[in-house]
Amino acid sequence: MAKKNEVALIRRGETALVRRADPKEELITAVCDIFEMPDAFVVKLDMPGSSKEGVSVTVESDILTVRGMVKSLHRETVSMLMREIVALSYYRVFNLGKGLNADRTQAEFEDGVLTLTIPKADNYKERRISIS
Amino acid sequence: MFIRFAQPVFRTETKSPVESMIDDMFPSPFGRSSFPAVDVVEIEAEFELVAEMPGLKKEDVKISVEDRTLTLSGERKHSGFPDGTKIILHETQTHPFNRSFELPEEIDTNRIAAELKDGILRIRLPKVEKVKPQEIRIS
Repeated sequence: MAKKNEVALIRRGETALVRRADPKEELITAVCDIFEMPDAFVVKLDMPGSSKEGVSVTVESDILTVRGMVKSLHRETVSMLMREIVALSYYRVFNLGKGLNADRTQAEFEDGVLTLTIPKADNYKERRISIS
Repeated sequence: MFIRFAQPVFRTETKSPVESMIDDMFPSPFGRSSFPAVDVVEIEAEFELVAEMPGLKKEDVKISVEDRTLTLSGERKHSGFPDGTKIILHETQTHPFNRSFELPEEIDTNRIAAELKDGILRIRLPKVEKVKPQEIRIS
């Protein structure tokens, strides 16, 4: 098995570059937005086709891993006339910095978007480097 | 069955000359730059158009049918960053979109139905019901 950080190699839409992380499972990087609030970081990942039950979020030391299973979009007996959706399972790994309370991460799944709110720790400080 | 694919029944007509030019300059690995990504499948009595629409609510999407052209348009309004926040990464697509598809003749446009769930839009396009051959018995 590849190392955790080496699995999510591709963006949605780049089928030609899909690599198999595991022979049984094809994975694709979920596109995401990240923004900083006064007391937390918010990560929003696009995972259309996944579901609340199909998403898993794990935190291990400083690594936050998101997976989203996608059930097949079509019945097997159909004939495809146009194909653009890369309906694979989603995967993305975040290397968290210090000063976050990752254990208290809140997750919410709505309209195919997973929102993670990662609270800052009390001792979180923005590192500013002064120019002399 | 796949001949249909070669003859683009669901031909899309979204690109302006400028967009086509941009596509020529930056070809994507499998030739699409349109949002949303769409699959079209044929099941016995109907076609189904499936589109990826993460983060969109049903009021954000407009589906219209005029003559034989189905148009999907809208905008992802419910994403966006709250005021005063610091954006660290922005990868999602938030521009307004507009994509059209030319429907085959055999679709009954009065019975088109759509459903949006978990970021996946499904539009059912039923075929016109064929009249069953009538058998006449000899009395």
